[in-house]
Parts: sequence; C-alpha cells; structure tokens
Amino acid sequence: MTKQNILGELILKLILLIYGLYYFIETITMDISYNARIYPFIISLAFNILMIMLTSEVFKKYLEQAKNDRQSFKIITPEAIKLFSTYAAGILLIALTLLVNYWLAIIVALPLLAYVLEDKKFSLISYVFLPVGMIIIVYIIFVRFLSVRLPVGF
Amino acid sequence: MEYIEVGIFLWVVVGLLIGILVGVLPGLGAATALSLLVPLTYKMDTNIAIAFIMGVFVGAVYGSSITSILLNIPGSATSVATMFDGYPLTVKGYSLTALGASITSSSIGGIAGALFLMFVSRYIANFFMHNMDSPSYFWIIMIALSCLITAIGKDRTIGFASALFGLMVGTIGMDMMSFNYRYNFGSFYMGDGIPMVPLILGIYALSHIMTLSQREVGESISKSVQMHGSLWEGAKQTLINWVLVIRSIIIGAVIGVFPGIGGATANLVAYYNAKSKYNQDDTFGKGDIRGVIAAEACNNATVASTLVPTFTLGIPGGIPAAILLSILMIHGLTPGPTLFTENVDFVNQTFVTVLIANLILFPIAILTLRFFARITTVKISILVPFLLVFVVYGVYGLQRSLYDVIIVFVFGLIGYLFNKYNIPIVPFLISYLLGPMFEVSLRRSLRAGDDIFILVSKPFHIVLAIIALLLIVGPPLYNLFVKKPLIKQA
Repeated sequence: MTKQNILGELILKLILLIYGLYYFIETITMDISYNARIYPFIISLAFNILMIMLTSEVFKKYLEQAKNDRQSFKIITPEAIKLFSTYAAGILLIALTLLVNYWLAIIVALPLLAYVLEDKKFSLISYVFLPVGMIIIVYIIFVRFLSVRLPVGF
Repeated sequence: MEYIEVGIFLWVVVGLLIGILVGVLPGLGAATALSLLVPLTYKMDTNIAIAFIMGVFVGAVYGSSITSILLNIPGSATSVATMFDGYPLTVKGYSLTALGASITSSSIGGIAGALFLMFVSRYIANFFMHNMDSPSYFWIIMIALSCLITAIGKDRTIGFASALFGLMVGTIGMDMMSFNYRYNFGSFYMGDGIPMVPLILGIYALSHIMTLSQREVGESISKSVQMHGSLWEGAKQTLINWVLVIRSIIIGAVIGVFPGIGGATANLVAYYNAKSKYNQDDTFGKGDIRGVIAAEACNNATVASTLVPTFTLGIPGGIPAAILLSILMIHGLTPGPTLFTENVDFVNQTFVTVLIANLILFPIAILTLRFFARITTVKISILVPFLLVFVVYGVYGLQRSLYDVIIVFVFGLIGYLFNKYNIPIVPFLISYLLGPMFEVSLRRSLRAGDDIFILVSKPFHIVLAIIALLLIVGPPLYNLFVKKPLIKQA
C-alpha cells in the first residue's frame, strides 16, 4: 500500500469518526425523551470506540510509511481525473436538466463524458447521432406517429 | 393457471434478458442490476413490476456465471465458486460443456428454490402471524443482525463499524415513536430520513460506475470470447450428478433464508461441501464439472429462498431482496405475515412468476449464450456514460427531488471509498434497513413491560434469544475450540 492510499484511508476514517462524534454529542445534548436516546447512545458509543481503534491503527501505519517513503504525493493522476469527471458529468447532467431540459442535458453530458474517458470516436459519433436519433425515435415515432405525450421536462 | 398471463410472461422474458445482460458484466451483479432498474418499475402495475424484477434477479445470477467460466472474472460474488472449476474447463477446451452444466444446474436450482418458497413461506408466515409480538420482532431482527457476523468477512472490527454506521444512518430523520427530529443537521429534507432507493442506487450502482470509469483508455472487460465443447454434454453431466444437485439446492435454500448471507456465501459453502465429498481424485480446482454444478445449483436456489424472510417478516434475505422490498413499498405493499392474508393474489402471482422465470431461463440461456458472451467486449467508455445517465435520471424520476439526487451522489462517493479501502458494504446496507425496525420493536417492548425481562417473557422469546446468542458467540467459539486444535495437529 502506498503512502497516498494510507492517507486516503486515514482521511475517510477520520471523517467517519467526526460524524460519529457529532452523532454522539447530538444524542447526549438533544432535547428528547430518555427512551428515544438510549438506542442511538449505545450504537454511537460502540461506533466511536471502533472508529478510534481503526483510525489510530491507520495513523500508526501512515507514520511508519511516511518515515520510509519520502516520495511526494501525486493527487492528480489520470485515474483521479476520470473519476472526478464521471462524478462531475453526473452533476452537470442534473444541473442541465434542471436549468434547460432532459434532451440537452443528455446531448451535452453523455458525449462529454465519453470524451473525458478518452473515447473521442464514440464522443463524436454520439454528438451527431444522439440529437438525430432522439428526434427520429422520440419525436417522429412517439410524438407524431404514436401520439404519445412526453413527460414534463422533455 | 389464472396467474399465468401473456403480459407477465413477456415481462419476465424482458427481465431475464436484461438481467443476463447486466449480470454478464463483471462487477455489476444482481444487486447492481436491480438497483439500476428500480426506477423503471415506478409506473408499472405491481404484478408486472415484480415479474420484471424477478426476471432480472434470476437472469443476473445466472449471467454472472458466464464470465466466471469464460474469462475467470466473476460477474458478481454469487459466482466466485463457479470460477474455480469453470475456467479450468475453458482452458481445457470444454467451455460450452461448463456453460451447459451451469445453465442446467441454474435452472434446476432455481425451480427447486421457487418450489421451496411456495411451500415453506406460507407456513412460516402463518406461524409468525400467531406468535409475533414486539419482543419476538426484536429477537428476529437480532437474529438477522447476528447473521451479519458471517457476512462481515475476515476483518470483524471494520465490519462491525460498517454495520453500526448503517444503524446510525437508519436513525436520521423523524423518530417514529416520539415524533422528534434527530440528526438531520437542521435540514427540512433530511427530516424524512435518508430515502432507501437513492441510497441503494448510490452505494451500489454509482460507486460501480465510478470504479469502472478508472479503467485504461479504450479498455473493454474482455478482448475476445472463444467457446468449445458441447452444451448438451454439460446438461447430461448435471442430470447424472443429481445427488450433488439436490445437496447443493438444500444448502442454497437453507443459507438463503438467513438475512445478509445470501448467494455470495452459499455458492462457496456448496462448492467446498462438494469438494469434501467428491474430491478423491484431486480433480476439484483443475476443471471438475461437479464444481460448476454445485456452485450454480446452489446460487440460483438462494434467489427464491432470500425472499422467504422478505415476504414473511419484511426482513430482506440479501441486498437484491432489500431492493425488492423497496419496490414492494413503492407499490404500497407492506411485507410481513399480513401480506399473506391481505394480498393473497399478489403473493400467489409472485410465486408463479419466480417459477416461470426459472422455467424459461433454460431456453433463453441456450439461445442467447453466444450473444451475451460478446457483451463483455463493449468498451468501458461507452458503458459508463449510459449507465450514469440511467442512474441519475432513474433517481430523479422517482419524485423529481434534487435531494434524492444529492443522496445518490453522496452515497455513491461513500460506496466508492468503502470499496477502495475494503470496508464491507453489505453490513452497512442490511443494518440501515433493519435499524429502524430494531429500534421500534425494542422501544415498543420496553414500553409494554415494566422492565427489560419483557424481552424474555415467553418460551418463544427465549428460543429466539438462544438462536441469536448462538449466532453471535458460535463462530468465535468454533474457531477457538474446533479450528485451532485442527491447525495445530496439521
């Protein structure tokens, strides 16, 4: 395991621990009945104990690795770019859907993601064929021919 | 006969085809296939939705065995054991024979599992209807959570932490007993809790899409698929080894009933059981057809048996069953003993559907085998954008809520990180689903009685408590007293 991977694991476990502590503090301080409090109190207490154990274990591993491995971090790797792009494409898709409509969102986001995933051929083909295909299949066949009413947003 | 309709039949076929299609793609097993397709069922009639989903479920479990045999890559965890002897058979030039055995044993296993569901679940439901009270529910859920110990895997600490995280997420929103809001960060949207469908879509489907997106440029799941041997020889071998088929079916049917364990564990248990019985010539692991038969008969038998606790108690037998549970709830049905009295037609229809799906699996699998084997050559860069559109629109279409989409993205990221850092997702998801029921049954019990002894006030409660206790302390004690001396002797 690289230093970078261990750091990633450490951050994830720290976030889980912080969430566990927030949950535990809220359980103690919130103004609810004793009955409503006992179950969350037990599970959050157990969760926090386990997370402290797990986080300290990873932290020790990280310190050991940091001593031996003095290489600098590479946060922006090709895999990280693809991962981030997929996530961003999903957000772009829903943002465009809310701002414009479903059609444009698909036409923009789908080929863009294919482009980021370095399939330029499929990206170009889908830029041309998605709008054409949508018009032919959805509009001519469904709307004109079968008289189907499209859902709101299309 | 009144439950067999052409429409239902056609939707089962469509579901089977889609299920095999998704199941064939490594990493996208039955759980991902079902979570991707939940949105399609929103507007469907309940019986059609169940027919479609059962087709997908059965198809995906079978489909995942194709890549295990041809490529040595399990389509999902339910077909890991199929790989042990399936791929060596492919290497020896008997891929079609292995696939023939897989198709035949899957169909037989599935049909037997469906019959088990038909005959057993009614009695279980009837029994629980007359014996269930809040303490009983508490112990049943405790048993379900205890079963998670088996699903947790090697690293118990991280598995327990994952399960506890699931229980905590399950408490977000309004407390159903005191009507107070809890852990919602003051958000109005989170007042209703974390919705089930977006969470499942995020943690299973989106996280898999994110993992797939990191593959190399232009990479497909496999480069070429070549098949040799005889399908019919595989089918013949399955029928010759009928005792093994029955043993594996029994293992699958029994293990499937326990929540959280499911096909992933059952196929390994059946495989090692067959190996311990039939491996005199040391042929297992080197291309023994009986290894494929045992694993496949077993994993398809679990498909129906995981539905037994889902229908009778409302406790999902596995992740696919949990998704099925969410579909039932979307369609206004409440799983539990009353389902068998208030929705008799629906229950009968579902049983018939499961049986039909397994009956027509055989011809469909034979006819489409070569086509589906080629699906694995589709490029990841084509697959990922389409799957992403499907997930995002699928969840947004549920109730046009941006909050649902945010949940998908948040839990997609959590699922991806859990997979990356080897934190098991199954304990999290099962605990998230069972947590609210567990809390309510505990508090109702305590409110009904003066003290904690209300939980063991009847002989039935004591029996359930002993089972739960055995499930918790059994595995560590077994390791301590039985396994270790054996290792020392070796």
